[in-house]
Amino acid sequence: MLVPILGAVFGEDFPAVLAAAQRGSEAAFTRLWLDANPALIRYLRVIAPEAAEDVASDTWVQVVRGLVRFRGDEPAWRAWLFTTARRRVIDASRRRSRRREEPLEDVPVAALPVIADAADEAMERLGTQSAITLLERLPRLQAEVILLRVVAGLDTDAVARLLGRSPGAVRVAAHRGLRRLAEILTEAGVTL
Amino acid sequence: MTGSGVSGSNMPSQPWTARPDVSPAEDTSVEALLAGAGLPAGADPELRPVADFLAALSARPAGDELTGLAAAQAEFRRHVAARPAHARQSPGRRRRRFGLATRLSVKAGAATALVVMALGGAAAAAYADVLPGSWQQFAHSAIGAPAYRAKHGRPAGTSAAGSAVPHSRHPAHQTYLSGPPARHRSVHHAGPPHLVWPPATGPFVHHSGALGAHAVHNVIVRTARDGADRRLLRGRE
Repeated sequence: MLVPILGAVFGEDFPAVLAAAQRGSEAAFTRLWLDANPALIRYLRVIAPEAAEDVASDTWVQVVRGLVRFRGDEPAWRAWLFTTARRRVIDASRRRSRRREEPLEDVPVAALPVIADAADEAMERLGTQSAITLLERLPRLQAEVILLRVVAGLDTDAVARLLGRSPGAVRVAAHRGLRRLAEILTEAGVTL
Repeated sequence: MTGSGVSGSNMPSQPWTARPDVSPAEDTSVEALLAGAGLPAGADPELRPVADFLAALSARPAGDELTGLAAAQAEFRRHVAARPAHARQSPGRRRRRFGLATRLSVKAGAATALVVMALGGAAAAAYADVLPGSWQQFAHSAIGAPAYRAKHGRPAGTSAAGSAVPHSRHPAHQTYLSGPPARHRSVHHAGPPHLVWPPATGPFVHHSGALGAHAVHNVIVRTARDGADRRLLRGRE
């Protein structure tokens, strides 16, 4: 049975843990972080693979600053966390687009990193990282919807609000993404 | 008509389906997988690899996913240390304190407003010379309201012969006032003064003129020692 790593982990304890963290309890904040950060990293490794750790760090800075003002239950907490992370990703991509970069033609071919085919690498190693790598082959929206549903444990409506899409569009994206994954896995003959 | 100029009757009338490519059984199975409920019995066997994929995606955290904890804790400590002490209380407690303070301030404000209104009303009544005798006399001595007059118009503090009772208790001074400083009073005011005063020996309150709508008056003090009149106050109302 699937258990989302960030799905209803605290349950009835969540209000007390959140209140303690808002009062300044580092132990309570650590619990929130331990529960949420792995899912956050997995999400960011798909939608911002080049800066996942940096964006996660920025996200937590924002969360710490706004923690006292946060009001809501555990699903609302997860939605707030991932919404913050997504906005950080957008900000980071804007900064990168404004930054002048060296053209690749000026870099010697020998200096370019050798990147193995993502699908081949995923087939070789089974596990979470290979699943994330495989997700990168999906269109961005489909991959993001699957991650937010499965890893973050958000329901369809919450994902729709987070992405600014309709619930119907989120359902279609999830179904198409999973179907495409099934095709990839069947073609490769791999069972994760 | 539609926006493109085609009438509604010409539009196709096929029933709309949101996702004709997804069967209801598949829809239920996929929703169960996405919600973390696992692959339901009787689900399409082709979904088995997908279920395994999702299980791998939501597996237990790996070590490299927990490496930023120290930095996050440091940021948390720094932020908590920068907060004032009252901000570290729980939001509910802060709301309760805020609510109590608000209720107290509202009550205090209402009480203050009532007191101010009562004092203002009493002062207005005193200046309108409608208070009972002892109250009017008290207001006269306390805030300079008109002295109490009996029905026949004689002010309190004047004897039947019209001699004055000194306004000031200081033995060195006898102050003769014309009553309350009346706004918009003209030197040509023909009506009865607020106070039947000064006595016939001469006006001690001297209206020296009018500037605009405000009268300028002098307050004359007769010193008991030498009997000379001295101007104590020149005011403009």
